[in-house]
Amino acid sequence: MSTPYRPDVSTKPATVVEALRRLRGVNDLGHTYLDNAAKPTFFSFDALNEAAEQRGRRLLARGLKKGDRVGMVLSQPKDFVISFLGCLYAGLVPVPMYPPLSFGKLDAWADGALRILLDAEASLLLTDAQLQNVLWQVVPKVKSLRDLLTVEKLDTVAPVTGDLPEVAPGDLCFLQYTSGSTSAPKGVMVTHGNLMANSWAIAVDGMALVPFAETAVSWLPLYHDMGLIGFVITPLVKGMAAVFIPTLLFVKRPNIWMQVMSDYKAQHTFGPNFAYALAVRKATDAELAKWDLSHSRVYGCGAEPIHLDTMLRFEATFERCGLKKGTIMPAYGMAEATLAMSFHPPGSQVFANALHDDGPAFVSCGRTFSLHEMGVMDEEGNLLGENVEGELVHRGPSVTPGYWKNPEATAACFLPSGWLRTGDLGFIRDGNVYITGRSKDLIILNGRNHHPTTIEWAAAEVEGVRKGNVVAFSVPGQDSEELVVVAETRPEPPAGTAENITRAVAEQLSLKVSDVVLLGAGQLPKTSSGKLQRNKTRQQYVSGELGKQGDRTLGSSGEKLTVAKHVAKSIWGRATHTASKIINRPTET
Amino acid sequence: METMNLIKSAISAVDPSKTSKLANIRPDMEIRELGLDSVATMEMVGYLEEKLETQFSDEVMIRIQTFGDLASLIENTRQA
Repeated sequence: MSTPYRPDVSTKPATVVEALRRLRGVNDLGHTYLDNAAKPTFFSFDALNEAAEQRGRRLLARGLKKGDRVGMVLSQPKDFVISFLGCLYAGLVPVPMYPPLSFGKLDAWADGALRILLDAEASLLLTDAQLQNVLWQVVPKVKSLRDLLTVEKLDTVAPVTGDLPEVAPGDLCFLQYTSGSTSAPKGVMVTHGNLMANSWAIAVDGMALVPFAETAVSWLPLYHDMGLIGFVITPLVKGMAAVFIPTLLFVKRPNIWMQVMSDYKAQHTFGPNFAYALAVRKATDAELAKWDLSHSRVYGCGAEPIHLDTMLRFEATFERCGLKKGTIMPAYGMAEATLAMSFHPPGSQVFANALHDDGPAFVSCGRTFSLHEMGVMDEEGNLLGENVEGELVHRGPSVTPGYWKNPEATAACFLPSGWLRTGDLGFIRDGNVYITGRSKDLIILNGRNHHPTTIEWAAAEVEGVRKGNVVAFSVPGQDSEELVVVAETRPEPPAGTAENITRAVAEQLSLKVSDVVLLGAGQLPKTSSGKLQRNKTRQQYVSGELGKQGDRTLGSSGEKLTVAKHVAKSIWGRATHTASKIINRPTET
Repeated sequence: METMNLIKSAISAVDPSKTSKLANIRPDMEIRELGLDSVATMEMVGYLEEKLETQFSDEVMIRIQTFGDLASLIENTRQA
C-alpha cells in the first residue's frame, strides 16, 4: 500500500478556501458526520472539496454573485458544513442561523430568523426538507430574498462551469450573528484574513496541533463561532480530522459525547461549563468501565463562566477511562475577535486565583497568542496594569472589522486604537486572563446568552411585584450557573408571589429560576439617578447583605433558607476553598 | 393513560424535583408550565425517543406546545 498523500501545511493559508483546497488529494482523513440516529457518513478532505465546490457552483447557477448573503438554517452537520464551505468556494457570504431547538417556540424562533435575514439583506435562504415548511412564512417579509431552497433541491440544479470568483484575505467570509435574546441582531463581519489569523493562532500557539495525526469531536452548534470556527475551519489548517454530532442528539443523549471521543480515539473537543457538568452527571458505571479516553489531549472549556469545581470533578470522574490530568483547557473568546483570545496551556493543570486575598477565585483562561495582545481598561479608556480589575480589551489580527451595517455599535466596541472592548470585567496576572464578570450584565445559562431585561420583564408582570424594580443575574450554582431574581413587592404581596415569578420566567423563557428574593420597596440598590444596579445587587446577594428584611424562599422547592446558609452551600464557598489549595502551586507545563 | 405515564416517567428521570408536580399534568397544560429548563426538556425528549426507539423530526417538535400534543405525537409514533 502506498503512503497516503500529505500536502505541506507548514505555512498559514491566506483564505479559508486556500486552506480547504490544499487538502485536495487527502483521501484517508476528513470529516465524519453523524445523523440523528448517530449513523456516520465519511467525507475525505478530497471528497469534501469536491462536494463543497459542486454546491458552490450550484448556488452560483441560481444567479447569485460574489458577496451575496446566504441565510442557512440547517440542523444536520453534513448539510451545514458542505453548504457553508460551498458558499466560500463561490465567494458567497454564509449567514449561519439557529434551527429550532425546543418545543413550541415557533413564533419566537421565526421572528428571530426574520430579523437576521432582514439585517443581513440575504439573497437566498438555504434549509432542508424538514424545516422549509416552517420557514416559508418569513420569506414574503424579506424583500431581498429571491429564493428559499432546500439542500435536496439544490443538489438537482446543474452547476455552473468555468472559473470561480477570486477570494482575497480582506474579503468578508461570513456574518456571525450574536445570540442576544432581545436586542436587535448584530452581525459580526469575519474576514478570511481574520479566520486564518485566529485559526493559525489556535492551531499553532494554542494547541500545537500535530498535522494529519489528530481527531476532533464536536456537538457544538455550527451556527455559533465555537463550533464553526473551532471545528470546521481551524482543523483545516493542519489537516485534523473531525467528527460532528448533531447538537440536538447531544442534548437528548449527552453520553454520546464521550462515547464518540472513545470510539474515534479523539484528541480534541470543546464545550461550555454546563456540558462538562452534564457529562459527569450522566455517565453510568458501565460506560465509565468501557470508555477509553486515554488518547484525548485537550478538553476546551469556554463560552460561559468556568467553575473550577466542575472541571476538577470532570477530570476525577473520567480518570477511570484513562483521561490524563491537565486535559481541561479553559479558554476565552468572542465572535468580535473571530473566536479565541486566550487559551490555558494544554497539558497543564487548570487553576484558579482570587483578585484579593479573601475574594472569590476565578479560573485562569491562560494567555493570548503571538501577534495578539490582552489588556485591561478603565472606564475612561486608560490601560491598567496587572492585578487591577477593569474591562478586558483585545488587539491583533483576529479582531474583526466590526458589525455589518451598524457603525454605531461598531464604534462603541471597536476603538480607533485597535483595541476591542470585550464588555467583560477581569484582570491579568502573570499574563494570564481572569474573567470576573460581565460588564454588559449578560446572563449565560446552558451556553446561551440572555439579557437580564427579558427575565426582569417576565417577573415584573407577576401580581404584587413593583414594576421596574426587578433584577435578574446569575451566580455559580452546584456545577453551573444558576438564575436568581430579586424583586421589590407592594406591601402584603399575594401568597405564592415567589413561586409565580418562577413560573412566569419558566413559561415565557423556559428558564429555571433557582432562587427568588422578595424585598420591600426601596431595598434594591440604585444609583443616585434611580437606576437599578445589577452588579451591586448581585454582590449583596452573594455576600448575604441583600434584603435582610425580605421574605426569601428557595425558588420552586419553596424551601426556606437563610442567605448565609445558601451561600455557604454554593460553589463560591467550595471554589474558593478548592482554589486555596491550588493557588501558589506552580503550573505544571 | 399509558402514554401520560410514559411522559411522567420521562420527567422524573430528567428532573426528579418535578416528581411532586406530576399529578397536576393535564393534556391541555403547556409543557413549559412545568418549569423544566431547555436542556432538561430535550433530555426528556431523548428519554422518550429511546423508549419508543424512534426520532422525532425538528419540524414536529417545534409545533408541540402541550402535554396533549406530546401524547398524540407518541401515540402516532407507536401506531406507525
